[in-house]
Formats: sequence, structure tokens, C-alpha cells
Amino acid sequence: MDVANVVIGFIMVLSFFGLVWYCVKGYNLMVGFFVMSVLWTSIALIGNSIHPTSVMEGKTFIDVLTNVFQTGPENYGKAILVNIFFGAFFGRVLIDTGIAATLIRKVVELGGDKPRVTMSLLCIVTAVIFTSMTGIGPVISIAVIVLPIMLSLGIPSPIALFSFMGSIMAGIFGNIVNFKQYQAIFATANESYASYDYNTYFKFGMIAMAVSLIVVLVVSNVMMNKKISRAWAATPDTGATKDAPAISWISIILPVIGVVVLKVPIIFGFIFAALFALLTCGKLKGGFANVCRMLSKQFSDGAIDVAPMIGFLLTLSMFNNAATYASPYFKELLDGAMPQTALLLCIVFAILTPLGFFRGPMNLVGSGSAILAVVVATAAWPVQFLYPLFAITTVAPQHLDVTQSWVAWGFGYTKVPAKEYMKMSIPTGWIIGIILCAVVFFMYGNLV
Amino acid sequence: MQRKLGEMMDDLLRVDDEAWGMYAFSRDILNRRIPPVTKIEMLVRARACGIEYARRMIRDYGTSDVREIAGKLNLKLELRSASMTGKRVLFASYTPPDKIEIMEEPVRRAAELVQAEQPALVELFPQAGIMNTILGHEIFHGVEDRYAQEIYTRTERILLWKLLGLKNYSTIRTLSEVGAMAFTQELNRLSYSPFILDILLYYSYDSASAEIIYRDVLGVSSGKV
Repeated sequence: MDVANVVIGFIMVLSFFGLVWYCVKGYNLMVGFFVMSVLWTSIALIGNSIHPTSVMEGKTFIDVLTNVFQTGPENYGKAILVNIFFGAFFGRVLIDTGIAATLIRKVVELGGDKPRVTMSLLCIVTAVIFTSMTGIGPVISIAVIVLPIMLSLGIPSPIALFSFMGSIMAGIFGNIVNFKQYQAIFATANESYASYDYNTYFKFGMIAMAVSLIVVLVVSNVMMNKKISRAWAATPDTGATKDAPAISWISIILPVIGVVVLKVPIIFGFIFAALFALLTCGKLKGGFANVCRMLSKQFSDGAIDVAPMIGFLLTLSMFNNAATYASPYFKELLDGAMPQTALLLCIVFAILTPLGFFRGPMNLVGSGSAILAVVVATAAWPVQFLYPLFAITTVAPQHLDVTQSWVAWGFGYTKVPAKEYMKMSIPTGWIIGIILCAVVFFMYGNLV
Repeated sequence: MQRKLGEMMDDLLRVDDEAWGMYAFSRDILNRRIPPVTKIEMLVRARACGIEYARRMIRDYGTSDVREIAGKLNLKLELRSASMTGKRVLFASYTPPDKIEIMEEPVRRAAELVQAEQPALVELFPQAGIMNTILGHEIFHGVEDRYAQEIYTRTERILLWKLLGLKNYSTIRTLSEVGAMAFTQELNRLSYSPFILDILLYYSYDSASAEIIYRDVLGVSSGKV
């Protein structure tokens, strides 16, 4: 064991905990990840000058800077941003056409004045909606419909908020945009992982979505106990808008069907589904100029919805590439402790799932990309096995977490104390992690 | 131009029970599942139910004082500050089996507002009077729980769907609210519908949105919606 490398490893671990603390405190993530990228690149360069590492072999100082600060964001842009922008555009179309709102109203009318039944139906439809939609804008647009309905049924606000956010999390397990986002991180960690596609992941994604939804509903119902109340409240909003036609409802799942069944590229899937939604809702009327103006507005509204995320994703991509230079030092520290079998890795991921909260070390859109680099460096794990494991510890904790932009918005909207929400969200994320890690072992453990 | 509180209250004091009931229906998740004629029949019966149970309480407990009745029914009253979710302002809630929570802030702000802007209405809306009106409303929900098997507001149901012999019926929350308003109106001997508090209490938080509710009520009242 090289002493210098161990010392550098410790410094990186310390800075890593600093990042976790920074995330927990709720500071700006874009700036935080940029600072970490600079820090780890600098430390790795110093370390390499003392004791050269294999990851920097044959690379000049400029090559390293280029890889972290240029290639990282460039690759990310190519792989993700386009998908995110079109996904956000599609989300805007679903909101503007009233399709999402109509589906919600219809399921509420099916459930009626039965809080548990109607809450469950609302959670199912929300999960389905978020297999295609993304971004804080669509989340807010759906939340301001769903949450008042739940509250009017007497569901306590912490449970209403938790079940809603939990059902979004369940939907994200099947969300193509999120898949692309995490897959790009995997491709950065190991080029051979780039071939892994949504169709291969789909079966596990649907199982994960169903399991998460069931766990969220069970926790919500248990926590609700007999506390369903009658409330006297006033609101200026009647929610009385025109229904979108039934044929248009299918557009919610068209992008997923297009990719999985017809194998169409995802951007085409989003465009086709959006146009189908607009056409069936009679929105492609009023002349060419008007339609162009509407499409342009929807695209720019969608871009605004995801804009806060873009800066963060770009600095995260820098951090991902910096993490590859940090991996030899983590490997030096963790080498003996890293599991080498599928069963052990699944058990470790199940136990450590809570470390995906607060953008922690198991979270790919947090500080987990460094752990990914280490895991990839220790053994040749098949991507069909490794990706679902990281998807579990990323999707479940992250989309229930207080650092998630729309969860933070939800606290402001419902005035639910974060502590009360976290009493449900953290155990739920952990339970989901344990169940799904077991599922991964049984589905893909034989590939290792 | 935005209407003044006094002007709005003058108009709203003239709104009849049916219009208030239809306004309540307009906020119900099942609003579109019930034909207008059926709604009117239901409203009449829900009001009658509220009045009937108010008289029963007076007869059984020998008082119309809502605090005494709450005590006799072992209902616990808790006062809280305020609760807003987006544009939804909560005034009070009843949680089974025995907890009533009333938000003090909207009541206090409404009473202060009336005092400052429309002193002529102070007699109709004193702070203690508003509190009693709200308490009476919540007591009704407690009474509903005790008589759940027989009380109209809990036994009236509509068929939502049927499939292969399976049928899903639902109660209608609006009927419960209409019954509670009639109940507290009877107990507190009010000359106006307690629904008017929706606008009065909301006004101190967001006068523009209160005017939207006001226009909704008048729209219903004039048959426009």
C-alpha cells in the first residue's frame, strides 16, 4: 500500500463527506459539484506527479483538463440534453392539452369519496404519467391538481405529499429520460456500458415501478391509520376545465410504447406523441403561424422547466470524469473491502441504500459517480446487473429526498415539516432498496 | 376594479340556500357525476338533515350552546394558528373520533377586517360568533360519525361504476358539508348561510381570490354556471 496514495485517498474521502454535508445543507449543487470537480482533478494531478496512476498514463495536464471540463459536458450534452429538452416539451404538451388533468379527474371519479381508494388510484395514474414526463414544471402542474384533491378527501398533508412524491419516484423507475441520464454516467465510467439500452432495462424498470408503488401505498395507508378528517376549507379553484378526448389519453404512454415495441428513437417518440396529443385534442388549428407559435412556446416552456437542472447536470458530468481520476485512490482504500460476488454486492447495495439520500455516495446524481468508478475498477461487472443496482440506490432515495427540487417545492406548498415527511420517505426508500436488490440478484445474479 | 368587502357581503347575504349548495357542489370531486335535478333534491334533504339533528341535539342536551354540546359529545377542541396549502385555506377540521381543530388566525383576521372595513356588519360577524359557527359545523361531523348508519348525509350514495357484477358506490362529501352548515345555522340561529364565511375568512388572505369565489357563488346564484 502506497502511503501517499492512502493519504490522498483520505483527503478525497474527507472532501466527499464535505460534499455530502454541503448537499444536506441545501446549498447550490451546480456550484458544489464544480468545486468538487476542480478539487478532485487538482488532487489527482498532484497525486499523479508523486506517484503516477494508470488512469492518467500518457495524458498531459491539458488532456486531463479537457477530459474533465470539456469532454464531460460535451458528451453529456450529446447524450442527454436533447432527450431532456424533448421530454420537457412533451410534458408541457400533456399539461397544455389538459390530458394529464383529465386522467386525474377521471380516476378520482372512479374512486369517489373513499380516501384510500382514490389516493391509490391517483398514485397509480401519477406513476404512469411520470414514466414519460419530467422536470419540476410538470410536477408542479400535476401537484396543484392532485394534492388539493387528496386534502379535500381528508388525507393528512404529510401523507398526501409523501404518496404523491412516492408515486413520481415509482414512475421515474420507468422513465426514459432518467434512464438516458444515468446510462450516460455509466458510459463515462466504462465505454463498453454504452451499449446498454432502455429495452434491456425495461423489464426491471416495470418491476421496480410496481414494487415501489406498492411499498409507497402500503406505507401511506399504514401511516393514515384512522386519521382521515373532514375539513372546512375554501379555495378559488374549482378545477372545472374541459376534458381531453379519450383517444388522446394514450399519448401518455406512447413514447414508451414507441421505444419498447416499435424500437423508434426516443426523440422521435416524444415528437410523435406530442403531435398525436395536440392533434387529438384539436390544438393543431388556427393556421400554420399560430400552430408554430404554440409549438415554439411549448418547447421554450419545457426548456424553462428543466433549465435549473441543466447547469447542475453539466457540472455533474465534470465531476463524473474527475471521479475516474480519483478512482485509483478509492481503490487503494477500499480494495480489500469491495465485494466480489453478485450476492455480496446486492447485500451491500441493499444495506447502503439510505446513503443514496442527501445526494450521498450511492446516488449517481449525487456523489455516487465516484463509487461507480471504484466498483467498475474492482471487477468486470456486467452492466445488466450493475445498472439496476445503481438505479435502485439512485432513483428510490433521490426522488423521495429533500434535496430533490420538487420535494423542496412540495414542503413550501403544503407547509409539511421536512422531519415529518422524512419519517416516511427514508424507511420507504430503504425497504424499496432491499426488495429490489433481491429482485436484481434473482434476475441478473447469474450473469456475474 | 376590485369589489369592496362590504359590497360583496351585501350581495352574498341575499344568496339562497340552493345557490350555496350548488357552489359547494362545484368544489366536489363528483360534481360532474350527478345531474343538476338530483343535486337540488339532495341539497334539500341534506339541509333538512342538518336542521333535524341540530334540533335533536338541543332536545337531547337541553342547550343550543355549541361549546356545551361539544362537551356533552366528548369532542375535544384544539385551536391552531393557520393552515394554507397553495390557494386552499383551511378553517377547521374534524378528525375521528373526537378531535376538532379550529384555525384561529383566519377567524381573528376576518373579525378585524369587518371591524375596520364594514363596522355595520360587526353584529353579524363577531369573532366569538364566527368561532361558534365553525365549531357547530365541525360538531356535525362528529354527530355524523355517531349516526353513520342512519344519517342522510352518510347514507346517500351514488353509483360510480359497475363491472361484471361489481358495483362501486360513493358517498357525497358536499352533502356532509351542506348538512353541517344547516346544523350550525340552526344551533347558532344565524340569519345567513355559514357558507358566506368562505369568502369573509378568505378575504383577509387574498382579496382577489376571495372575489373569484364570490363571483362563482353569484354565477351559481344567477344560474350562469
